[in-house]
Amino acid sequence: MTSRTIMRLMVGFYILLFFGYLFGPLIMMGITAFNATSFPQVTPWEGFTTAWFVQLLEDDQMTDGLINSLWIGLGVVCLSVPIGLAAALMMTQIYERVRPYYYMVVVSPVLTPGVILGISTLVFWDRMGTAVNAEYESLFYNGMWLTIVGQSTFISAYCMLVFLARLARFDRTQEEAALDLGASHVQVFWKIMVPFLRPAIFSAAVLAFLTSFENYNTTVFTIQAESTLTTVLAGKVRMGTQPDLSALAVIIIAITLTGAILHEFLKQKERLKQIRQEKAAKEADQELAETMGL
Amino acid sequence: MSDFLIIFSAVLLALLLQPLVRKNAGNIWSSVSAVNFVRRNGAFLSLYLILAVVAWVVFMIILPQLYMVDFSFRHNLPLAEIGGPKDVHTVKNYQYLIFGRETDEEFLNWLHLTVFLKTMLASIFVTLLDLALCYPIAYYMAQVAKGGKARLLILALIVPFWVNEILRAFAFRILFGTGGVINSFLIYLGIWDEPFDFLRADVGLYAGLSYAYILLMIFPIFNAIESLDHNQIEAARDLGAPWWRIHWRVVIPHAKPGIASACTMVFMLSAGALAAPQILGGPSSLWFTQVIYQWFNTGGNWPQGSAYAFVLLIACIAFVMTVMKIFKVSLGEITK
Amino acid sequence: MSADVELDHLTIRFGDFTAVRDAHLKINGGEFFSFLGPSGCGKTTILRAISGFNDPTEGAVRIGGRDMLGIGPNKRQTALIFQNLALFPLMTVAENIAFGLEVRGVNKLNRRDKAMQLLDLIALKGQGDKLVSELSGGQRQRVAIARALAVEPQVLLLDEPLSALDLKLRQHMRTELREIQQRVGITFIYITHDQGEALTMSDRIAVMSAGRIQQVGDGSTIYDHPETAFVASFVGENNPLQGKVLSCDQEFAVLDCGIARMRARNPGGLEAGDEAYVFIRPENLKLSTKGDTAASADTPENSFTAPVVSEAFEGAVRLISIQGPSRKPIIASIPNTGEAQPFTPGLLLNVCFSADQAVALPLGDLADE
Repeated sequence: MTSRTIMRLMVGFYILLFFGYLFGPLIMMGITAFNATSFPQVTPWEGFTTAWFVQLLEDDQMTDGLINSLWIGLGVVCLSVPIGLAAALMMTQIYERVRPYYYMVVVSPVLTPGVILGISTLVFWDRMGTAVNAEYESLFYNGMWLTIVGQSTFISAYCMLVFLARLARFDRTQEEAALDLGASHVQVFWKIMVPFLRPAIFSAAVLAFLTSFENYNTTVFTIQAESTLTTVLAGKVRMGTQPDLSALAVIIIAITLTGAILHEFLKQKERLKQIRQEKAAKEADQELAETMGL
Repeated sequence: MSDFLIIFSAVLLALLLQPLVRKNAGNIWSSVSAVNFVRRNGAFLSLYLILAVVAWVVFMIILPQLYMVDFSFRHNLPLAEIGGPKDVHTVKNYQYLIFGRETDEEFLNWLHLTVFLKTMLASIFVTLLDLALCYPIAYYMAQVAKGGKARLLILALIVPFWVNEILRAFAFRILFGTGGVINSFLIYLGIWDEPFDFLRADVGLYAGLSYAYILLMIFPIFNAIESLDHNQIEAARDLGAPWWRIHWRVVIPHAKPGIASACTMVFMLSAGALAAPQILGGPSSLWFTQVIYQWFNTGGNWPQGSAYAFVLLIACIAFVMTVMKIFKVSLGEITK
Repeated sequence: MSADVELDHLTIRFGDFTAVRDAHLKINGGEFFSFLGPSGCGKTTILRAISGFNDPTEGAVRIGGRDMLGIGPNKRQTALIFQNLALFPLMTVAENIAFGLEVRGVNKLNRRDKAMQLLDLIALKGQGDKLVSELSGGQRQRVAIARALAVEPQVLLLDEPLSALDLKLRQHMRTELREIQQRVGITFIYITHDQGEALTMSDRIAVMSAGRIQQVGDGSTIYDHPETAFVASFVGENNPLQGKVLSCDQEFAVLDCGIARMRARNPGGLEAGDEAYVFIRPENLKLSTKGDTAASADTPENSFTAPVVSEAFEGAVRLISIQGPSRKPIIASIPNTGEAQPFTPGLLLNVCFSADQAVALPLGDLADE
């Protein structure tokens, strides 16, 4: 009995330690955002200030980077969600003997280091540009465009995996039923497949945007003369640390927490709805039994 | 250059269209099946599917990689000479990684070779460290914690990872810097008088890298352990197995694909990490990706950088293959 | 309007596996036709071939006299009710019912009208705006039927649609399905492994085994005049007694079954020397205790004496197991009058049956058992 208690205490202590490791650094960073010292420090405490947040807003470099990041994120969503969807649908239709090879090719970007994706995209477009004698202002040398393409290479694969997970739960008889009722294949796609995939489309888009927004490894090669929020941050951190970065982190953490809580709340609502429906079905069952006098 | 492109596009298109052509046709190559594909999806949808997949696979995945490999076998030439008589293939970029310049005193290019080996070994170390850290948590979440508590734990795990990678590394810099929280605390306690430079000793880097990939280590293992029927553990316990034997004989064999998947992902990401080494690495110790970055940025020698990148890619592929062999898992299981 | 369905020497193979072998029959317009057989006998494959999801390897499917080769499921005048119903979970009940009309470009108002009309037919008035997940199993069943009827098919195909329901509801739905069929007057093709369903609802039944159609006929023909050993043993309860044919004429054959000589009808043209089964149904066996002479007036061939093994009480009938020539006991069922004495194990009984009610059939597929 006592050994069991000791075991349980140890497990509890480990979990505490683990989450301490997980949140400790972020909390410390959060504290430095409000410390008046000019270097991000917890000690010595020189008084509470919100000056770093103000300084953050006045930083043009960061604002420019942020705007670029948002555009790139949007571009990546527009490119990788349709590609991921097509690749996932192709997976369901492709000839079975070829499927493993196809799968190997399309998941390879997930397993390829980000720097290599960035380099290969950069080299490919650069050489293509040289081959067709493109102007320097053209798409071939445009940092924003290259970043969108480079990031989409692997984010499309993420999206595809999201769609594949959803498709695995698709009941093929739904498709057959619709066909049998006279729908064409195109109608099946729009009226059955797309509504079924809608939640996956949404989560793929969110995943794509967030992944793009925080990507560094690929971006740092493809972005060239332009900058994103992440590359600006990396530059600043490498130059020397300032508390306004902590302030930015605080903002990001606040947004994330809100999003997470909102997400959990919506899921809870969905669960309750499902329970309600099951109850309604049970009641209907009873009602039917009574009217039939069974 | 352009004929290179045309040949490759043609081959790849043929390879890609092969499944469409062969679908439903058994071993007979029948063009009727391509018609079937169009009939099944309608003109618009077929066009979308083929265009999107071909654009991605050919122009975003395969051709860029091939171009990078091709480029790594070329000389670093000014723009005017590209396509000229001097633009021929060479292995000198790879030679340089191993032997350095011919004029160097040393026979081998120790500087870059050490960086490469250190990166690989350190990535393995980070992977094992993460595995040791995360396995208990994954097990706890999958088999011990119930309902709301498990959901809360998952949420608590996810939240830190939506904080930007750079800012996470920044947090560790605040923590481990000479004027950082840990040094101040230890000096306050009187453990030592002078601040210890954790960053120079790479402690900050290892801590930061392990931290960065916790989520990727936990989730595959969590998913694998969660699918294990709790009764099996109960049965093993009932038969008198001690806790470590239950893990060794029941839980770990069941979670093997998940563990393999997690380790592969974490290794790949550590070996390919750039931000954490740039921010947390000591001034004297480089990560292999940093060398590649230098070739592209300050070095201005893209073919050389491409060669290094290709070596990194090969090393990663070799690692994945080894893991797949050792753990006897398939690629599908790894990317699940 | 209803159409007839013709299977013209239909064979369907999947690789090396032959799911349907040479099925050849004609289902008349307006008929309630069932395919009855154990799972894996090929009945679902036939249904999918009629609806257009499987292509014939050989032979043809004709609906209303027209060869269906190359005509997709969405172009055929058939509607299929799936085993799992395959209702669309993201649509309301009314949207489900009107789906077939929606894809045909019928406008919203007419769609709504038709859905209301069908909801009436299936006694789900006013429930059109519910989601499918809010309905009970029986209600979903009706929605699936309404959804199929909405497209006004000439042939309705039903793939074991009642298998998910519980027993009482299933029995109720049998009558309801039959009523609906008579009201709409179209051809119903029904797939089932439950002979009760097939016998109560169908005009005609095709019994299938291992991809082959064994016999086609109405319920009483299938039950009373089986043509193969499989049909005799699959439909209803039957006692098989194996033996060798001693002599035969046009109508009857006499077999040596070990315990006695048996005389039985000979529809399959057995000849002297053939190995065969004599099938006799439990309800056609007459039992009498030794000394009781009232029941043993029949021909001397079909009577023997054997001890009781056990008795099972089933309410309306009593099932008595009697020691037979093989390991398997012979089962006799007698109506429960509430008065008769129990049959104690070991009690010797006189067993006899009329030759008209017994049938001798070649071993066929059952030989291995």
